[in-house]
Order: sequence, then C-alpha cells, then structure tokens
Amino acid sequence: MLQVLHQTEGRRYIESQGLRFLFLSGVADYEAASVKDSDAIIIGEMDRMEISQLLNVIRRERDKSVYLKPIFSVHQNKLQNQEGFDGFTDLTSNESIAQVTQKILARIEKVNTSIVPHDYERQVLFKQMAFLYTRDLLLDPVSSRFSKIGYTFPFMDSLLSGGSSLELLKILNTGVEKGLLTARLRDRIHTCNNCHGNYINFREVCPKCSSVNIESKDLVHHFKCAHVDVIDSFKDGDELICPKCDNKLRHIGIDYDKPSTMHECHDCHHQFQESGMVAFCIDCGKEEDTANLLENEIRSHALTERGEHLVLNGWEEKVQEGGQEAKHLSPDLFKMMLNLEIQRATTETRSVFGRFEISEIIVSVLGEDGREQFQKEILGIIGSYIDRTDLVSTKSADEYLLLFHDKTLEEAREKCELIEHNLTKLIADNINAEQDLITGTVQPVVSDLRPQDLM
Amino acid sequence: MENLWPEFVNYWVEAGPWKFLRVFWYFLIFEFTRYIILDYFVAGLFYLRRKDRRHAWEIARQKLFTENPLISIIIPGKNEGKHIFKLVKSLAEQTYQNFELIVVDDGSDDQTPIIGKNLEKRGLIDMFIRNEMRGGKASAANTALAFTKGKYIVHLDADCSFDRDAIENVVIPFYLDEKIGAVGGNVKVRNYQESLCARLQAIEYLKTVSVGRIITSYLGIYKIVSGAFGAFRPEILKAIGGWDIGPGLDGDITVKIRKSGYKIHFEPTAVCLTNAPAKFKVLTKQRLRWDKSIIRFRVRKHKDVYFPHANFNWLNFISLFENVFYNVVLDITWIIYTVDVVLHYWSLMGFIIPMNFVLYITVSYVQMLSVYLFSERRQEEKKLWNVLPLMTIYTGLYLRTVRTIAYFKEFVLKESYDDPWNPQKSSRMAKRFGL
Ligand SMILES: [Zn+2]
Ligand SMILES: [Zn+2]
Ligand SMILES: [Zn+2]
Repeated sequence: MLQVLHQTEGRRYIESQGLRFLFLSGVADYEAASVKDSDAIIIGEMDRMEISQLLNVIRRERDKSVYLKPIFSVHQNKLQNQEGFDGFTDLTSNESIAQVTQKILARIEKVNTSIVPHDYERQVLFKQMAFLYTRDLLLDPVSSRFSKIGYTFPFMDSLLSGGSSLELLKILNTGVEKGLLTARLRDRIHTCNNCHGNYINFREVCPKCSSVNIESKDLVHHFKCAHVDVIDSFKDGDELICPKCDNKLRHIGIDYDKPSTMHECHDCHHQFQESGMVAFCIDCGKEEDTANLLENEIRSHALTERGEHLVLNGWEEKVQEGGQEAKHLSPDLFKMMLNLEIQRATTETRSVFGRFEISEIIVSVLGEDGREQFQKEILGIIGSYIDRTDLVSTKSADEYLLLFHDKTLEEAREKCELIEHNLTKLIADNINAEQDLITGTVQPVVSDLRPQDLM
Repeated sequence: MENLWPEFVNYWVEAGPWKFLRVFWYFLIFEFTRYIILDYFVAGLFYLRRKDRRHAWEIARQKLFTENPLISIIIPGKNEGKHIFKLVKSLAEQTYQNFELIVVDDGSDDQTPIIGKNLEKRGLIDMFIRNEMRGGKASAANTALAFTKGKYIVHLDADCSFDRDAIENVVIPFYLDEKIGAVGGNVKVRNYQESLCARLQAIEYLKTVSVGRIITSYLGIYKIVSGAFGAFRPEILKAIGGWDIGPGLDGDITVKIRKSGYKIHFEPTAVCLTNAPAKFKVLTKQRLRWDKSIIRFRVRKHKDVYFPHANFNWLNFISLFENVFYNVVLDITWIIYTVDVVLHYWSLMGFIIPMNFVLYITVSYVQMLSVYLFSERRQEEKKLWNVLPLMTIYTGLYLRTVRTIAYFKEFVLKESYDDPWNPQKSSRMAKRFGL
C-alpha cells in the first residue's frame, strides 16, 4: 500500500488511493482553503472539547465542499457516533475510508447550493439535509450527558452554538412539517421551562406547602365493623388490633384489607392521597410544577423524496411556505359564511355542514387553562384533516362547527369519521374514555336551512 | 226528597256507629289516631310554642356565627363523580362557609377518580380519598370520618342539592341543646314532576319524612337521621366507632347515638332536595332494601332496647317500638283485618271497599293540610294535591305489599346479608357475627 506523507506550508497530507487526506492534529491546524483543496479530513488525537471545536468551525463554513467534507478519526470510540464521523482509520490501511470518501464526494457534487434559504434556521436545515443526502444516512439521536437535552444529533450539533437544544428540535420539526423529513418517535424528554435543561430531579412533595418531608401510610379497613383508619391506629406491638371492636386482624383479604394509602406532611400536617410532584432543575436550580415542564419528542429522521429533490435542485422558498394552520373562523364570521352558502345553495352546489360535540364530562374536568389548550388542540386536529377551502369554528370547548365546500355528504362524512377517530385518540390520551365522548353529525347545506338553528 | 248519596254511604248511615266501628276498626284505631289526631295535636303544640322556639333559635344562630367553627362535610359514595361538581357549586352558595369538603370514592369504576382528583387539585374540594377496593358505604363514611378536623360533621349524598341556609340550619340545633348528638335534615323530592311515581313519593316524603319527623322529633322519639343529609358531633361518632355495615346504616347509627345518651333532632328548615326513583321497578327494589333493614337493625341487632337493663331508656324503647309497631305490627294487624273482613263480611264487600277508599282519601287531604301548615314551600307543593287520591293505593296497597314481602324475606330468609349493595367480604362478616 503506497502511502505518501508530505507536508506543504506546515500542513500534513496523506496521499492514498489517489485521494488527498488532510491530517489535522489541532484546531490551530485548520484553514478553510486547505480543506477545500483536499478530498477528506483525518482528525488526529485530541480531547473531546477540541474535536467539537474543530468540527464546529468546519461545519459552520458556507461552502459545501468544506462543510460536507468527509471526516475520519484515528480513534474508534463512542465519539464517532456522537460527532458524526464518516469512519475511522488507524492510518495503516486507508482503503475503506477511500471508498467512503469517493462515494461522498460524488454525492457532494450533486448538491445544489445555487439557491440557499435566506434565514439562518433554514440554512441549518438545508445543511443537515445535504449531510443526510451525501451520507445516505438516517439522522439518529444519540444519548449523551454532554447535551442539554440528553441527546445529540450528529452533524447538526456542530451547527448551533450550545449544541443540541430545543432550538435544534424546532428546526427539525420545521423540516418534518414541510414534508422534507420523516420522523419516528424515539423518546420523550421533559425540560426545564426556564433554561430548557433536561437534568431534572423529580421530588414528591406536599401539595399544600411543597415540603419534601412527607410520609405515606396505609389505610386499613376492618370488614366486620367497617372501621377505617391509618394503620398506626391498629398497631399493637407486632399485631393489628381493631380500635373499634378490639378484634385481632388476621388475614388480609379475609377479615381486613388496605383500600388505599394516605400521605401526611410533617411540616404543615396536611393529609392527602396524591402527592405533588415538583421538578428541580439541576442546571439552573429552578423548582416548579411538573405540569410546567416542556415536553418534547426526540425523533429520528430521514430525507423524504421531496427533501432529496430539494437538496438536488436548491431551496425553492415560495413552494415551501404555507403550512397546515387551522383555518378557524370566529363564530360570527362562520355564521356569515354559512348564511352565504345557504343562499348560494342550489342543486348544483354541494356543501355540507358538520358538527362535533364533546361530552360535557370531559370539558368539566378541565380547568380554564386546560380548556383553552384542549380547544386549540382540537382545532389543530380538525385543521389538519380539512381542505383549504373548508371552514371550522368553535364557540366553546365542547362544540365545533365545520363547513365543507364542494363535497358530497359521503365525502364529508368520511372526513368527519377520520377527524372523530383522531379526536377520540387525543381524548383517550388524556382521559380514560370508555363511552362515546364525541358525537359528530353532518348534513347537506340546502336553501331552507337557517343558520340560527344550526349554531 | 231524592237521596243524592251513593248507595254505600246510605248503607253505612243506616248500619249505625257500632257496626261501622266493627267493620272499619283498623282504620279508626290505627290510621285515624296516628295520622290525624296526633298530627294535629302536635301541630297545635308546635304552633303555641312558636315564639319561644324562634327566640331560642336566634340565640343559637348567633352563637354559631360568633364561634364560626369548622364544619367537615363528608361525601362517601361510589360512582358519584358526575354529581360532585354540581354539589360543590351548590355548597359554594351556602350562607355558612367555614367548611371542609371530604369526598371518599369507594372503588368507583367510572370517571369519579379523575373528576375527584381534578377538583381537589383545583381546590374545590379539600380532600379526595380514593379507595381502589370497594368497602361499602359504611367503610367509606368511616374513612372520611378518620380525616375530619371540624367541630361538626355533616354527612351528604352526592346527588343532593341544598337550600342556601341548609348547612347553617342543620348545625344550629347543636347550639339549642348540648344533649343533641345528631340532627337530621329535611329531605324532599326534587324531581316530583318527572313521573307519577316520583310525585307519590314526594307526597310520602312530605308526610312521613317531613311531618312525621317533626312530630317524632318533638316527642323525642325521632329515629332516622337521613344519610342524604345529617349532622353529627364527631366526638360521639368517634366514640361509637362510626358507621357499622349497612344497609340501613342511617337508622343504625341513630340508634347507636341514642343508646349513648344523646338526643336526635329533626330540623325541618334544613332542606335538601334529592331525586326519587322515577320508576316503580326501581322504587320497589329500593324499598325492599330499606324494609329489610328495619327487621335486621331494629328487631335483631338492637333488640336490647326492648328489655329492661341498666341503660334502659323509655324514649329509646318507644322510638324503636313506634317504628317496629307501625311497620311490623301494623302490617300483621292489617293482614288480620283483611282476613277478618273477608271471612265475616264477604257479602258486604261492595260497601266496604268504596267506603274504605273514601275514608283514606279524606284522611289524605286532611293530612296534607297538616303538611301545608308545616311547609316552607307551600305554593310549590300545592301541585301535588291532585294526585292525592292515588295515595291510598300507593301507601295502602303498593308500599304495604312491598313491605310485607321484605319482612317475610328478612325474617324467614335473612336475605339482606346477600344484598349486592355491600361487597361480599363485608356481608359475609356481618352474617357470621349476627350484625
Ligand atoms: Zn433550568
Ligand atoms: Zn373492627
Ligand atoms: Zn405540607
């Protein structure tokens, strides 16, 4: 195997298999022009910090022949996954890395950077997509305790200051929403709403005074006399004696049982069954209700066909915009539109009025804030299943009105069934639903309808 | 001159008073004395002493509001979640506000745990205790009792609603008399317009529950603090170990409080509305259960009050005896009466049956007048007057038949131990120990 090692202007190159590898042994060695001139990079022995610093500079360059350059490491370790190296080499045999390099270089050629997005976030997204394309790779999150969110995303990590963060997840999400990336759920993380950190200690506390000084005790029910109290009042040495009827409790399930557990706070003496859960953020020291934590999904991603098309043909800004916003109207406006539609109704025009009612039981369980959030989520779901020309409106959390334009009753019904199915899923996620908690109805819009009867 | 009276009336006018007494002895001895003479006698006394009562009440009320004690409202039940939110709202309207709300969910298999936890989190109830394993109504009430902190305990059913001053009025009697250990609220039927069945029960509640209890309370022999709405002194409840296994635990705990030397008071102004069964089928089931419990608790479990012993107390004796008498003894007597009339006056049936109806219907109206005198909802309750004639059939035939069947089953078969109302484990224990 012919290996030519030579130095030019203080830089070291390795010539092998007809390719020119730039060997970097520190951040100080780096210079964009020399990277551009070589076919790939080999990173020598460095500590973790220095490696990521180096990768950051390379990948933040604007030139595709720099930031997409194949990078190999002389060490095979966990970092390889986390940092997105293209492989490793012990410098004795470079055959395999040469093959990889050739493949990647051929693909880099095809990446079209003649039209790049204007804003920073989309630039990052484009770079990540180009990386996935050139490596023919799945973007798989890797667990890491050096990341604020507990996971790193190879390559993309180097593009954002501070590494993997909620910002990164947001960018990937944009890609998914625009249909450029696929998504598969891998994990759910909870992050501090103050610093977005994922290092959180969960504490069981008194719901009244938030003290951690709480103790749980079993309740005991003596069948014969129906007496119920905390177990302490039954204890007599090793035995359990009922304080009401003085009988000895012998056999759980036969003469007594433990129907539940109660907690007592030793600080404020509050007694309760459901202890509060407080999240303590180790990064910033903030303590808060677990309900206030931000929940995010960690997903793995791959390029969609459309994404690949974009990488090969450049970013077309105008095609991409226009997401799936819910087209929901105020009740007044909806009524007006419905009225128009009724007046317009002839035998040729076909419109359908639909309605979803959510059981009062669910709505009454939700607090004010919960209701608003619930309403938003429902509108979101409905919005994602109706067409651009269809309208939706809501007066209260338990009632949603729809107007389908130019659809047969059958088509509208099918859509409504789909929506109902998904709403039921949403509710089932939140509540143990067994009965029908949602009722959906559809009816054709005809000229003798009166909006006030429908709304 | 032409006679305008129907033939059967003419017959009895001709027959003379002795024969009339011989044939209608049951009505004249029992129904007439009990429901008419006693009612009006007590109503008269009640009326005469109204000024003293009002004065004492004002003083007691001031004492309550000066002291402003914490009241623990306990609501044990299974699958009652759907009622709790409404109940909480109804309680928020109360004139007396220093109370804690403790809800015990006795192994519900519906949305109750979710609703309860949510209401607790939102601070609308103070304590929600979920028992994963169902233990029966008594154990649920005892669970709540174990965690109360109030000076008085008010026990409610979740499907009730309350007059704005109901909580205030149900605890004021404790300030009238130190020896009052428990106060029963006045339970009325909310859904009386729903069906004939509910309407008849509304009248029945008014007569027996409202007026009947005013009278028995006045006489010191009032016997059941309703589980739907009653107030207790916790120290007494704790001393007697709370509730024992049901059914019929309302009556049972009242007897236990009585036995420990306290008075029981009925407070007609503490009004609570509840839904009565709207169908006869459901009503029959409910009454079979109630009636069986009379045998089980009054005749069997608390039989000691009938015998002279160290703690013998005449009022307790009468209290239980009155109940047993008017339910069990009268029932048997009525059967004897029927047999007597059938055997001796078979040929006169055409005259006896219509006359009985006339007597009972007349009594119904006269009695309803006493309800009217006692009521605080006179206008509303006037709507019930038109179905009064049917009360004869309702109480005289329907309720009596149900009661007779229940007594037979309980006396002979001891069926209430197998009532699905209690979980198996509790019933088995109760049967074994003769509770
Ligand atoms: Zn934080
Ligand atoms: Zn016991
Ligand atoms: Zn506390």
